[in-house]
Amino acid sequence: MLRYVVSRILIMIPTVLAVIIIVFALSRMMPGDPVRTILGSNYTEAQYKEMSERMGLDKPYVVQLGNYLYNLVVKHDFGISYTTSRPVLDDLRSRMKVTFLIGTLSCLLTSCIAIPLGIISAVRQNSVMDYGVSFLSILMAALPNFWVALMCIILFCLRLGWLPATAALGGWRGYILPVVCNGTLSIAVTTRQLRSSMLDVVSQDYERTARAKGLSERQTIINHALKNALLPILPVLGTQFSMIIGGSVVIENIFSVPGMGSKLVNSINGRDYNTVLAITILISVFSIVVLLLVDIVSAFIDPRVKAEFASRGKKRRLPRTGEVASGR
Amino acid sequence: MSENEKGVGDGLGVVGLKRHSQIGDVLFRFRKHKVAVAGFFVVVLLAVVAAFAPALARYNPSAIDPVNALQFPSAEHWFGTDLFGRDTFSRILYGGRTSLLVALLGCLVSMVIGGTMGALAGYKGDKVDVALMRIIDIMVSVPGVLLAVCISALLGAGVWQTALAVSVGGIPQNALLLRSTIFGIRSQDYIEAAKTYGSRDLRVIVKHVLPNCMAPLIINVTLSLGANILMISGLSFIGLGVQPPTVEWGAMLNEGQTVIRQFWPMVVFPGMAIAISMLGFNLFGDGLRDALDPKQKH
Amino acid sequence: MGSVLEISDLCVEFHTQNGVAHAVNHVDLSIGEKRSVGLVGETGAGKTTTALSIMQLIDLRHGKYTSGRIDFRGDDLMKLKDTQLQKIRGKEISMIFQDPMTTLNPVIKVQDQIAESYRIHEKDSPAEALIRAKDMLEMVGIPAGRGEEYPHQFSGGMKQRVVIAMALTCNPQLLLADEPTTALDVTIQSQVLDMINDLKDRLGTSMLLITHDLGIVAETCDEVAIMYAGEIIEAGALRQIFKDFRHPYTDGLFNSIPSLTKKTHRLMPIPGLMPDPKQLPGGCHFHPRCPHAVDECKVAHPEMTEVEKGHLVRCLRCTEVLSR
Repeated sequence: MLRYVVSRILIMIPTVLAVIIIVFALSRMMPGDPVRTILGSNYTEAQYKEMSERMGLDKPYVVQLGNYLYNLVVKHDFGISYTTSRPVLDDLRSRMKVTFLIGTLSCLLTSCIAIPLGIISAVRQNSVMDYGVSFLSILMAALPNFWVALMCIILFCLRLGWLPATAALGGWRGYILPVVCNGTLSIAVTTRQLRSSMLDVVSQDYERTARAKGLSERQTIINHALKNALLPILPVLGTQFSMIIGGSVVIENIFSVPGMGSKLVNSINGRDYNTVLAITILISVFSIVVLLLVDIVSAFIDPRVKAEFASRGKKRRLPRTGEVASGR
Repeated sequence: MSENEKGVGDGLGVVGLKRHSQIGDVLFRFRKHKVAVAGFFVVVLLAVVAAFAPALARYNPSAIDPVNALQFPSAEHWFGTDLFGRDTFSRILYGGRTSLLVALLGCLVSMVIGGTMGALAGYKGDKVDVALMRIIDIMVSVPGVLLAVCISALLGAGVWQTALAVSVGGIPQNALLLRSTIFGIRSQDYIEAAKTYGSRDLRVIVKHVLPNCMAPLIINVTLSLGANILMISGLSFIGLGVQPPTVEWGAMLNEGQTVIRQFWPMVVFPGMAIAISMLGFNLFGDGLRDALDPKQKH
Repeated sequence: MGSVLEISDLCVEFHTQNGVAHAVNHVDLSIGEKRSVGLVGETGAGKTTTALSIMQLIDLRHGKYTSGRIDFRGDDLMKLKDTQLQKIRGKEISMIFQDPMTTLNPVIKVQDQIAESYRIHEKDSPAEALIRAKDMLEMVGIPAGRGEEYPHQFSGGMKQRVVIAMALTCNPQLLLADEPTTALDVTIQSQVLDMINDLKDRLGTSMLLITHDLGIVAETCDEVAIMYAGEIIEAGALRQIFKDFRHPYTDGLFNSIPSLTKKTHRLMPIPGLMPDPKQLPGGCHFHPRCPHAVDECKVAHPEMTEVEKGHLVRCLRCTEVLSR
């Protein structure tokens, strides 16, 4: 099992590196000249040259990349922000916490709402409850969460005045709407997935076996169906977490949340590419780690996967979407 | 039980008849989904609006009329007017045009790029497969929105640029789909036979593989059109993506956000347009999936 | 000798997209104390549905009991409430399911799946239940230590032993064995059968053995009922059916298996297919495939006729054709 975890972490490293290299390449291709951004409109040729030397932009691309990677890995240094002239990481430290906190809370909210709803609507298939939940989840899956956020602002902040429209104002109450709005799509998706996973499980033979043993309907669901139905939901939640963090780019802007998402948009507009680069890398690495954790956790929970490693200690070939069907 | 029966019927049926009855089956199953049919009509409505926007709009979407700025909905202006007095209803009609066009372009690009990657991986196998799948792994591990934001920032605003930016998210799906279809088919005898007869690789792919992944491909396209519309409006909303003077729903929301405190119509109506088209594509796609692939219940 | 179970006039139908399937039609069946009854028929004859009806486990989203009584120790199972049924299932009546691969829950340890019955029916503490579960494993020939493992770590035969152990936990009065050996290799088949026989004798359990294999019936059962298109078409003591069968379908069944004792020139499979339960043919359901069918068979649905004491046949020509 340990070998599995270690090997999974080892495979993750090249992925992370590749992401950094690609994002770095993209950031160097972005329009605009960072040197000019810093110097403003009044500068001499010599000043320009000196500045680009100081920023290391005069060197060949590969050397720049090497320096960047070296600084990042060894010194955890993302470089200097072009707009604030401070180390990027210092700018981002508190914002990172905010974004990941909101993301985690949204994901928790998703689980707390989607899991019970999905189970109930599957267990009471074709009941009023089931239709209600299905209707709501179809509707929520169609509503863009940034629009939901705007509507919530109109309703809760402007009309009713219950909550502040700006996250920084009003303490924790300011974070209620960002957390909720960030989760709407995930709630809808997870509910539907869990419902279908549960429906699949309750029609399995082992459920009939459980009933034949004399278990009550409730016992068959709690003791026998839940674990089987939740196992395939774990990766879904992982993907949703990564989507929520990605979606924070949009939501944070609406509520002026002091997180990485709002900073990203500002930095893009301000052509502050070191910050853009840093945020992209941080969010990507975070979501890679989350997906990895989900994989490891499911391996621990699912006896089928666990046993495979206990006996062979080999790395699992992850089934890819669609591959299962083709039987490869 | 119905599956068994169908198998028997197919075996007895004439080959020519079989194809016909398959399409009939699909139509039958689709029509039984009332909501899916509703979704289909929404999609058709969207297409009609996009095609005939100039005929349907009562105003020029860019005609500035400062006297009538920020008008609430009325008989004159059904959805009100915006900051510059432009008719919101007409702008939403034209915005649908942009959304649908960019979404379609994005879909096409991801199908071409992803499909080629998947086909290569599936057909060449071995090292090519491993390499391409690593790339897909990397693409999957970065949140789609983030990737789209970065590429959009890199390429700048515009219809083509946005199409390219939103296409990235759909590439892995298409690649995996084609790859698994090819893997499934490659092992089958008739492909070997076709190769023995000297059919060229490309011919084999086009002739045998495409028909086999048509159903999931169609479902993919429908569902990703909806997702693309959402992504496009999201990008435009945060100031990337499609920008004025091109009319786009997300960009309209962005403008509306600045006056959200005083004037709600500019925020409500474009968002509704996005939601309704998303709903249409989602329902239509779900219905198609059930109709085309009855075994794969979701 | 009293009977443990008495089914009378049981009808079950399933509502599918393409119509109503009459899976079980007016079945009468009784199982005597400590007796084994073999229920024989082709796939789709309604054998499993009959067994599931006894357990009252028909999926009521699609299925429906349209008539009948199932008397078990003075209670009509059809009329019992869920809570009462839960006390009977797994304790008084238990079932061995057909496919050991899917019958066990993949994410629960084998011993826990067995212990569950003790905990719910005999209110054992978890520790006690676990000890008894391990004993049960030993009894079906699996080392107790392997109880820690999960079903996927077991072979098919081992899984079926676990399923049998699960069914026998609370010494049921009636065991419903639904093709307990079909999914297994031939060598393991006989092991498992021997085990079932042995346990049955030791525990004094009555059994309904569902199978399409007449050889297994001959080894295991005291009485036989042959099922076709949801009906029992011939029933009687083992000897009566094997030596003196009267129904042309039973004849066909015997002709389609090779025999070591008789010099068979050629196996004679029954021509045609089992009729679609959604469109059963009129008259005798077997007439389209019957070599002895006469015009009357197409219109008149035969009733059960007692040709000998305890030997019932559902055929208009039962006294003419195969009587010897």
